[in-house]
Amino acid sequence: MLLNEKSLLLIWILSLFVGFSWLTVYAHTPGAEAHPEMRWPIESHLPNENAMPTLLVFLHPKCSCSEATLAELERLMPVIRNRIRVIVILAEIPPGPSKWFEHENEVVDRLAAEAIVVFKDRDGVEARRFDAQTSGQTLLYDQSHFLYFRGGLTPSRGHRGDSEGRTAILSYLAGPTQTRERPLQSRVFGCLLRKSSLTKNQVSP
Amino acid sequence: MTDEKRGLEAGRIYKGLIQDHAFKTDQIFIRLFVFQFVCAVVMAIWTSPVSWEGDESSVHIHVYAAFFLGLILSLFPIFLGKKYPGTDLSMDGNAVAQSLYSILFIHLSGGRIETHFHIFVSLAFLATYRNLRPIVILTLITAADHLLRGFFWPESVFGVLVASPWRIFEHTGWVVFEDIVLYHLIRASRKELWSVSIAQAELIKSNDRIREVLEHVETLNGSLEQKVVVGKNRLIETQQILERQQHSVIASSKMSALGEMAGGIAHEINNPLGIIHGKAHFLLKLLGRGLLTPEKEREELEKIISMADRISKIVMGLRSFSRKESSEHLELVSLGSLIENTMSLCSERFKANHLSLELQRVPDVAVPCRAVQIEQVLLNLMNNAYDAVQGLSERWVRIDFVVYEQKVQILVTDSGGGIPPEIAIKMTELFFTTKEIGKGTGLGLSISKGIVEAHGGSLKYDAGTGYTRFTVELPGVLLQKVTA
Repeated sequence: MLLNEKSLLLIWILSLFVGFSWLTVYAHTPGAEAHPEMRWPIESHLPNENAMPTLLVFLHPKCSCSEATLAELERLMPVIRNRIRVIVILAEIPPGPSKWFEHENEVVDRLAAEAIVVFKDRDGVEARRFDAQTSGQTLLYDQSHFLYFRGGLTPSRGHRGDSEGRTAILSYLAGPTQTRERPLQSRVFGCLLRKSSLTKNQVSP
Repeated sequence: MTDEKRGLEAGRIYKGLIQDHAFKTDQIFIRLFVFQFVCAVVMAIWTSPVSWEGDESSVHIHVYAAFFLGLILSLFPIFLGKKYPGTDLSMDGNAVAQSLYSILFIHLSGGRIETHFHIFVSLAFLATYRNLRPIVILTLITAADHLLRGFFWPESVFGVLVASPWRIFEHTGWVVFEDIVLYHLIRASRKELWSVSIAQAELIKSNDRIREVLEHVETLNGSLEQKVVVGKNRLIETQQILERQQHSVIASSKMSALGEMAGGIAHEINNPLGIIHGKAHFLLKLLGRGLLTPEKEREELEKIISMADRISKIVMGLRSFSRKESSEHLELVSLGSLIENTMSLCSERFKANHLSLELQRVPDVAVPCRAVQIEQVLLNLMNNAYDAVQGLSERWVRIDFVVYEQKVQILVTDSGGGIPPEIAIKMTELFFTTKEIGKGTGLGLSISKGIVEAHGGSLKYDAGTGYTRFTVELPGVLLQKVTA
């Protein structure tokens, strides 16, 4: 093979190495984490009556990663149904050319079938109350409304599969061992629920 | 071809078949890489076209990855497949690119389990090389990807922070399992190819042998053709020599016959000449005595003219006999003319020796022939008969004719008691004679036979009569009266 072709081979391998590394790093770079109060915010309009643990999942309806989170949630449901109340908070985004969004009604029906409450979060009010910044942000509150877990349900960006979040939720059902001062946590992968320029201070009550 | 050579030939064919498979598989992969590139871009646009920050969007990184990584992944193996088809380099490039395409699709689909099947499909595609090498490459890359990601981002592979080593086996086990199955298939396939190669080598050997035999046959044919040509030329030469000899012999025979005739002809001419001489003297005597009356004069002169005519006839027959044949073509001649000419040359001789000559009525037929040759034959038979009956108490010669089915037979029979069988067998051979030295040349019967056969007829000795009989049969007789 000529020197040029050897160079081509080298360039090819290097390009692939760089390209796949970049893709992998991107896939495993988490979004901004939520740091909510340890107790359920009293100003929230989300239902939390009854002494029942509640799982909140914040989703950007157009983010492609949301499909992976929903898939993982559906995988969890057979285990947590009737034991944990599940609420999916959909950020209300203006309509646009998104496959996921076009099927929003279909998704809502799918969730309803799993006895999942769907809440449309106008202007991201609830998201701000719980400090949720990244689509896929999941919060588990115990029956006393204390935060047990904060993180995501996917192992990487838009990637399905077992994750630390799933493990944490299942561990709660097995018998919570975590102290209320230090909730379990994992990384969350997804699009930003709101523009990064907007801060928590700008949240309207 | 020896066994060793056959083995080498089979090896060469086997290598060629493997390379042919590799070449064809490269062509399949070229199309596959184009297809996969399109699929990757479509999949990225379909599943994750944009990423979001609130209500603002930008092109998703997957779209860039699908386009640029897909382009890089496809272009180089396509280049190798076009420039180095059927080589290990192209095969290795395809294996690497195909492995990475699996990883790309898994990324783009968000780890959907269905896209993991791409690895197994890729293994099946790579198996068409009938070579374990690309399968090992794909397995190693897949294992390396799992190990590296398991080390740096274990949750991306196994979903938990601390992966159990058994999980590695669980994921790669299926790949290895397919590898084992494919290994056996490849082995069986290569065995089959080897059998085909041996069979082809055998076929080539048989073809070579057939070619050798054909070449040998062709050489023999060439040699045979050459020999045939040489033989033919020799035959033609011999035939020409024989023809020349035959002509020469015929001429000699004719001269011999002429010589033999000379004595007879002397008689033929001498007798009428003596009569003319006597009559002329007698007329002179009568004239001298004054006794010549006009009646007597007429009577004697008529006799003289008659004798002169007779001599003239003999001379004409002789001239006709001795002249050269002007044409090789057969001419239609009346049988009567042939017989008359022949008789004119021998009848006086027979008469002078008090030998009875019986001539049956000559039928009104014509014979297509060379008249001189047929007359020569008949004269020869007459002379032989004349010689044969010398010294016998009963001396006669008879000529009969039989006409049947467009043929005429001239039967020359003499009072001889036949010819002994041992002589009859040889008598038509050249130079065979029973006559005393200086009298016969031995050419007569053999030449006569040749002449008659050249006319499409036959000359046979008929042994069943108790006498000596020769039959001349001539074809093509017209059963109508022909003016000679």
